[in-house]
Amino acid sequence: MEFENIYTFLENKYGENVNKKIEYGCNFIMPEVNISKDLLNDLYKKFDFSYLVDIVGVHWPKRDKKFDVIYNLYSIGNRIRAFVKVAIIDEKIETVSDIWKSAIFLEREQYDLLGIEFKGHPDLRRILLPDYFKKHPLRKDFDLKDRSWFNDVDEQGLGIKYSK
Amino acid sequence: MGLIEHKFSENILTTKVDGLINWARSSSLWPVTFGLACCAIEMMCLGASKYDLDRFGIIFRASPRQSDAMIVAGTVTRKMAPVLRKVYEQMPDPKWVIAMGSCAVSGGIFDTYSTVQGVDEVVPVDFYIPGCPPRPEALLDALLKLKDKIKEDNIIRR
Repeated sequence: MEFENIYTFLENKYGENVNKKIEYGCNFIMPEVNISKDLLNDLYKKFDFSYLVDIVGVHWPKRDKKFDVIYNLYSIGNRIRAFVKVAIIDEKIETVSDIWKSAIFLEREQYDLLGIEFKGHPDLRRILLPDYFKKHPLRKDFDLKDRSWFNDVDEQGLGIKYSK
Repeated sequence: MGLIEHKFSENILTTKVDGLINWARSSSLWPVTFGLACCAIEMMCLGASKYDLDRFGIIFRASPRQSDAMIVAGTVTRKMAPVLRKVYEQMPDPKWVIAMGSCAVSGGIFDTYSTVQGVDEVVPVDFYIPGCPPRPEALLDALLKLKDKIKEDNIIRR
């Protein structure tokens, strides 16, 4: 099994809705957002992509489709890695946590840091930052040195005052 | 000891209360382990055989309730700060704090949205050790200076 075989199948099934490129020795599959969940399901069921390595989000503030969601998939049986790159418009995408259980944590991380909403996720909460934090620090328009939220909540009732 | 010398039987020594208690406190200094980042590696190195803290009577204690010093080794984030304060408040008096490394001293390179700019915003600090991370010798120096400080303590006036 080669990457070309996989892509031929996807091209026959999804036609113009899917593109590919091979760059830096990496295989990229770029589907439209409306078919991306079906495509990922096909990769899991038909081509043995049993290992979801990572989910990455990218913020493109000057683009119409402001966010990329990139799924890093690995097929242990076929020894093929594929990156599925989905561009989304309105910060919303279907969850894949029903296909890969590991996506529950990975999607929570992207929700926390970039504010991408994964529709149908069973437990979409912040995972790294505290619950009372309001913003999403990996967005390009985020003010990196903004510590004004430090005194907003005194979650343990200890009366700590931050001044710097 | 002047007038009272040789007035008591054997096995009785005369000394100051300060001298006795400060000697006991400084000779068995038990710091609570509060390793938060890479500085903790240097702190562990200091506890291991090469630098060997045990020879000074300094033994890391994993419980704040049986400790008398806290070494804050690493970056203190906003999320961690209340936890640090709670551990500090669980320690019995008298207690001392050493801020180890640039991050604990001032936030260091992390002038960011999540990092507390110096642990002295959260707890009172006795010693600041600069360095990123400081050498184990630097922490050892701070601990020995802390022992000197404890020896000059005045129990009644405290």
